[in-house]
Amino acid sequence: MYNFTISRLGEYALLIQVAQKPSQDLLQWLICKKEQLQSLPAVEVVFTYNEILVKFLLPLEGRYDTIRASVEEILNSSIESTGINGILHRVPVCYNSQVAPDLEEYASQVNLRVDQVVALHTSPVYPVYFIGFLPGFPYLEGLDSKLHLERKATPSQFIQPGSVAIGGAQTGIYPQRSPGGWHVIGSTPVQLFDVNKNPQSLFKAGDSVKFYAITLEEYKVYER
Amino acid sequence: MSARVEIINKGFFTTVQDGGRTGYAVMGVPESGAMDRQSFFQANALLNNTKDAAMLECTLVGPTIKFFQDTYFVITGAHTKATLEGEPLKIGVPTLARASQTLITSKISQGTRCYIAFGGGIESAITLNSKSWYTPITSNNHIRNGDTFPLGISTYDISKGAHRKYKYAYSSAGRVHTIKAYKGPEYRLLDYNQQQLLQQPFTVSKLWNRMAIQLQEPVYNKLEGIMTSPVIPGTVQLTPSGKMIVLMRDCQTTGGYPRILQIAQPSIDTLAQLQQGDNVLLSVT
Repeated sequence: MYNFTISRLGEYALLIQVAQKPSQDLLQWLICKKEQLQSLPAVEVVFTYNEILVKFLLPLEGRYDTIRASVEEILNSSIESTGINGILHRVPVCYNSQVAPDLEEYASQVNLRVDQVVALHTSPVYPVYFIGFLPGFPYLEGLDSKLHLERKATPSQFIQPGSVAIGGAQTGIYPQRSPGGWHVIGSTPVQLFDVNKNPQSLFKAGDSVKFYAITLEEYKVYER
Repeated sequence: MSARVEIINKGFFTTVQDGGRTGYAVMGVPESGAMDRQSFFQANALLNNTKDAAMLECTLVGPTIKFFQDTYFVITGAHTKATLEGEPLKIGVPTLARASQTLITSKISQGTRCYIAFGGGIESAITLNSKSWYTPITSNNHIRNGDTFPLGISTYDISKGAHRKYKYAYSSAGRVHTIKAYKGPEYRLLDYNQQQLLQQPFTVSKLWNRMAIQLQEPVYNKLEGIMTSPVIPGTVQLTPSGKMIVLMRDCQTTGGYPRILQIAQPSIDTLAQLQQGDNVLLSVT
């Protein structure tokens, strides 16, 4: 059980903030509480590292105390410790400056050779905390501290879909073409979000990601 | 053959919008939907449509539309010069267009966005529970010349619609718009001087679209970024450069800038009618 505060975010939403750093235990709690909170007459429930947002269809005015009490009851109840039933996704990444415009510059900024960057980036199993920012964009945890690098001072206007990038202490994959301030160090041919699939997002909270390196030739074959 | 309309001239920037897309924020999909919900809901109410029926949201310059069947339609939102077969039209009054007639809307004044709704609503493709356009979820970003839109079955009836009055008339002419805001999750991190600075008038910058409106005047910012956290339409973020960004209907689902304010729903509708150079006064409660 965690300490939390509940506040309103506008007329239609409740924000639950947990005073806790991200951890696997907290993630498990968040996944469980999200499910339980969906039993409320809520439109949708989303969470990030340590916050849960509960959106309602009707304004909270006049029923805030009742709803707040139900939310507190749900949050204070114990959770089943069944572990996280996530999928481990093995994701091919081409670490080649032809598809990763920032790779060389990034490597020199973190004082590593490209092969060292690749080794450090492909070694962890990254838990997926949540999907946000863009449809299908996974927030991954566990980037090696040697790879941490502040975001670019001036964001790139267009980052290509599939770009594997690093921003600060985080690494992620851009599912769609987008502006962005992260350093692009690789590219994956895997599609992360497809409206015609079910589920549409390849990743979900509780899954995990392991990157493995592929050559430019393999990348091009895969892309077809 | 079911009713349809065709876009003859696309105008500046027009999209199909309905009540919005819920249930997919967990996958990072924005809410979308009509920017000015009051005008949107009233258009549907005036035509006796279902509450969330899809319609056209037109920005700055509206389109020219050809009808193929007798069709009731109504225009709400910002004031728009509009004619049907050359006859001037009134905003907020349902009108019957005859087959083969042409509706010409042109420059939008006193506001930024108008809504053109049709009896029965636009029956375009549904993507993830919604007809609202948002690339990359939908393939279309805005309407093009030659696009045709199928319409649903109209339940408009003059006897029902006649006593509904259009209430919301937007007027902007040179005034300062008061925007009601609640304190956001990171408001308490602001120092006294920053809180005072929020009371000055702000100007809408050149960055204003369906995703966000950036305000011109900076409030200095020494706050650190926050851990990426949920945001919704109306959330006001304070960027490292001290600029405030008001998130609008197509905004991302999470963000890492401090959320200093949360705009009240009716004021989000007001903001939806503003453009570069318009002035706002934040009323923080």
